[in-house]
Amino acid sequence: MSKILLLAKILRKSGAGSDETFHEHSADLAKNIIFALLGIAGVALTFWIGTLLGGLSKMADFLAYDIFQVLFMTGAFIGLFFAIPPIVNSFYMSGDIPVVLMMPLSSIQIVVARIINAASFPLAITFISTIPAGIGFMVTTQVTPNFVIAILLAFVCNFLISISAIATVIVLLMTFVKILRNKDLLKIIGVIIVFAVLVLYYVVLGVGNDEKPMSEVAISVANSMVPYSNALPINFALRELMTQFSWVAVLEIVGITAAFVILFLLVAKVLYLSGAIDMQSTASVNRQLSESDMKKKLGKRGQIAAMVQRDLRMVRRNPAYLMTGYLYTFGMPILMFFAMAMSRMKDLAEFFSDPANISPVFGYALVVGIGIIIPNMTTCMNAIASTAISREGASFGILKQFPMSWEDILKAKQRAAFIICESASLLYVLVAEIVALVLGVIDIPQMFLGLLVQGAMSYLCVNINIMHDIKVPNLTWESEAQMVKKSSNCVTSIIIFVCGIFVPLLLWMVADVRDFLGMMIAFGLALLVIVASAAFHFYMNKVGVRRLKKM
Amino acid sequence: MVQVENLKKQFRSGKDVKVVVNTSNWVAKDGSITGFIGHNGAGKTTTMKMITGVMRPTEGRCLLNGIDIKENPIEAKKQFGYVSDSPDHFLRLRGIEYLNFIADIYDVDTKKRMDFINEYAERFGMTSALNQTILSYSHGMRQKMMIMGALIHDPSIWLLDEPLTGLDPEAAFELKKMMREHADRGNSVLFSTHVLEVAEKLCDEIVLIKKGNIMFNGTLAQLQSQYPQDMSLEEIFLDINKEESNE
Ligand SMILES: Nc1ncnc2c1ncn2[C@@H]1O[C@H](COP(=O)(O)OP(=O)(O)O)[C@@H](O)[C@H]1O
Ligand SMILES: [Mg+2]
Repeated sequence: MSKILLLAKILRKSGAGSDETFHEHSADLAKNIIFALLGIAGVALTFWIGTLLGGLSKMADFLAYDIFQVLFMTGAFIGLFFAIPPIVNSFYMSGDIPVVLMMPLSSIQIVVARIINAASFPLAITFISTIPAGIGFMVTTQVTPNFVIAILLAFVCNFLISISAIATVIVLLMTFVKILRNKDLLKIIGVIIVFAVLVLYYVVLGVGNDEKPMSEVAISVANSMVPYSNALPINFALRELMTQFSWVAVLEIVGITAAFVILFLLVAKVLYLSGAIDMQSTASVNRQLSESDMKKKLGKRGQIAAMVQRDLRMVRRNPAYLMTGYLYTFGMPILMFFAMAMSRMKDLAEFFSDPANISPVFGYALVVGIGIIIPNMTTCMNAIASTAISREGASFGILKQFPMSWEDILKAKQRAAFIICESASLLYVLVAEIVALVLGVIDIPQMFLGLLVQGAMSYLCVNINIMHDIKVPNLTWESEAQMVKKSSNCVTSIIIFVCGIFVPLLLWMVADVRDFLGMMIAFGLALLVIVASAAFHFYMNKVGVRRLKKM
Repeated sequence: MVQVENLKKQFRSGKDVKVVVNTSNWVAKDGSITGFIGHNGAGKTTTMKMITGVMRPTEGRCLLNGIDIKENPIEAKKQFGYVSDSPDHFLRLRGIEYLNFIADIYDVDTKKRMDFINEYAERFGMTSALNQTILSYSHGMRQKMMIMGALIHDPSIWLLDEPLTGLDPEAAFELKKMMREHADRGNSVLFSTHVLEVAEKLCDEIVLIKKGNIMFNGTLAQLQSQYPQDMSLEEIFLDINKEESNE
């Protein structure tokens, strides 16, 4: 046991392969503060629920149990979900695995040490979902000691069960589903799951947003979930224990928990080591090139085109850019749309149902607004432009010895970033404009105006981000994932914030004025974006190149 | 030919100034292999980086085939192929993509790049690795890939920073042979090393650097003539470094 704790401590200190994770140990102060605040909010929330339940009823009230039960289940599931990335990572992917595999340790010692490091978040979640609620309940109602025992058991056993269950499933999957052993693929799957859950969250949020008071929604959701939570292994016994003490219930809870833990330890003992060892030898192997393949691959291009293609390849093949690069770029607008549409769908439908309502001025404002917001959003959300220089890292020195002017290198960087950002925002702006066109809100010339504004805005955003990276580049990173996280798209974040406030304000104003003035404002804004984009282009080609030369 | 004139490099951190390179004039001549010899931290890599324009010198200048790297960087950079001290670059590219990319940067025509890749991949035993990502290569394979990239545009000057580290015996032998052939065609090869046996066997000329200062520049025979007969380069090298530590 002491060996396990020692191993856990050393793994934690060495960062436990933090270079490979989507869930990183970072001593980032801001992040810690945010997590602390979220934790406090969670504790307060469940405490409040506990007091409500206490006030609501006597112990015998069924609703109180139901809600406790749902609370426990929610905690267990959230914990489970957040445990997946650190467990997969620390079991199979982190960089220190070869070193650990070399040591004379048993599989059980390794996995337990790994879990101790990976489980802090699920532990916190199960704590928040049980203990404060129990205390809240006790504060408002007289309880018997068996209630305290039930709450404590709920905390400890739900945690142990959920972590053992998910770890068992992970070890089984990684052993038998060979395709998961491709590290890059696994990261992609992880990212997609996170994204899907976010979308789901917004959908649920939208469903709950139907004018009913929040408490009613909560109760109806809880009610509909009770049957599922009955299926959770220890919830039934817990419920029994909350009303009256029974050794049978206690034994049942402890027994079920022990079964889960033992099952996991057995699975780990038999399967973990061989799986982890296999992971070390998996890499995608491409077939050898034939003479004709080679001819195809050896086409000649200009310097800039070659640089752009290299950049796009490196970004595309690097999982670190997948989330922040492609998924944000292409996915964020959809997510934003869900978030907005779900809460305001009715208003929008009402508004557009009567085209006579909509003035042509509003049309202009709409296309200009969309043309500004969408490219801004996609470009700010992705790390392609804001790491344009930084992602070269130590290879920046190699670029320096190329017989290529800095003007051309910068051009290549702009083009690569613009291609990615623009392909996403163009897609969305086109969709938005075609919808508006079909609805009769805008006409064809307005549509082109929108596209022009969109292109100019995209170019401006890309350039601002690249310029920012030129000013404060980070070329000494250890891992790309870490560099991407630290890259600040702060300048553009401010712009998106300002636009986010400015454009709706303008829309509202214009919709109200409905005359020449409104039209002028829309045109003025379009002109402003185009002029600003052109001006920044010239500024960057002078100052940016000068800075690059000095780097 | 590489001409280095009064090259000096200081690093500054706060008020501390650390002089890393401070050399008088020296050259790497056409038609010969010049060994750039010094112990770890002597300033070899720093000097190489200044010659290639990767790092700016505090003072002095470097000429490549008579072209000043500072005045006319692009022309000067076309003169050399450089293998840096670390081979871990552009890891996400496949070998073939890397070579094609470098060939584009140096404007090598398609037929030439094809012939080069076929010949050198064969010589380095890299043919089957061409379609794999550099990320999957071993250290030695990466080194071979970097060497191929540096030579693909057939530069007249070869600048190789510890090129033999990590190479297997066959590849090391091939590279040494290539260096010899290249120098014999009237081109210049400047390579840095701290392995004295290699330098002794391979070099026509020697540049000895110690703590940033050039201690000697000339042929091996000239160096040996300053010392008692049949002293090896290793003994001379140790002797030069001893003098310093006695001071
Ligand atoms: N960026 C830097 N900042 C400060 N010191 C440096 C830097 N780069 C190299 N040095 C120092 O310069 C000296 C020479 O380094 P280097 O040229 O790499 O030596 P060599 O290649 O001969 O082994 C070393 O003492 C090293 O610490
Ligand atoms: Mg060195």
